[in-house]
Amino acid sequence: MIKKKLEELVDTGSRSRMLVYACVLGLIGLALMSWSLFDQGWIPVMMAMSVGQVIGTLSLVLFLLVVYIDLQRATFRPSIPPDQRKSDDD
Amino acid sequence: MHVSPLSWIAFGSALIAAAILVHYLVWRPKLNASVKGVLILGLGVLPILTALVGNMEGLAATEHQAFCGSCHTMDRHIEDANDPDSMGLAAIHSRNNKFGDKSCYVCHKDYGMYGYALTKIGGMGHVYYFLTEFMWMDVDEALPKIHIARPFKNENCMQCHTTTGFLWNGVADHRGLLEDLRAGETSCASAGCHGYAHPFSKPDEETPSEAEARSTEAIRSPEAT
Repeated sequence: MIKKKLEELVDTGSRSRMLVYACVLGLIGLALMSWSLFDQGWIPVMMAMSVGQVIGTLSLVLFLLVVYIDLQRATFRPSIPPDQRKSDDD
Repeated sequence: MHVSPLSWIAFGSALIAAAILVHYLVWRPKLNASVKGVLILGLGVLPILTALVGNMEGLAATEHQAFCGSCHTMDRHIEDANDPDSMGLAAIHSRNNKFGDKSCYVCHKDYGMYGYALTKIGGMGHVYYFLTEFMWMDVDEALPKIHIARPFKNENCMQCHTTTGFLWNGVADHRGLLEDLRAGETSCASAGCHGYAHPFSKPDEETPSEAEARSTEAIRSPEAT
């Protein structure tokens, strides 16, 4: 089920939308982690070390997924033309 | 509020990462290799640096009184510990600069092999009780219900008061109870001995006497105890 959803996402997912989500999540995660640097009560410290880091990790995962999708969709052109390679093999 | 140089480094890296992300959101440049390189800084390297330093600073912050006192249910305990006129064990020890701002942690931490982790797990238990039970109570309502999770270990007292010093052994009660004290069968912080650490929380119980207060003042060097 999850594998199928992931494959669907890789095939049809919009990279730019995913990057926007990644950036927004990244900003939220950074804000939560920075809050605890200046206010060291239990709420900011625990929020930074749990929610903030989960959101930050999620944003990185989304970015890596975009890179993966990019690689999947990329068409790699060989640097040596096939006919030349063939003659080399001979 | 004390902000360490490491925190400033973490905050600086968070700011740079945020600037990168905002720049991407506003300008939406074409996603080529160089943009990906910059984004991996903004979404990976710099936030990870912030998180690592944040963890170090966050864990260090959990050792300070300000952290323990950030739950309103601990207000009276902190007030008592910092009361210059209080003769409770918590206050006497908090006046010692070896405890000072970290007196809650130094006395209540677990000193065993896995003590650091166990102390943090215990702290999570406090958070659970706070969120499920004490959060909506005022201090007067919560105070009678607050109790230590496990009996206070003499081992914690013995981190400084080793039970081998001549001053300590000069007290007849200490000599008589030596094995019991080392085994934890008689608590140092109990009525009849040194009294409770936070005597205000047990108004009907015995607290340290004036005579004991004088004897505490006479001991100048903890190493000798």
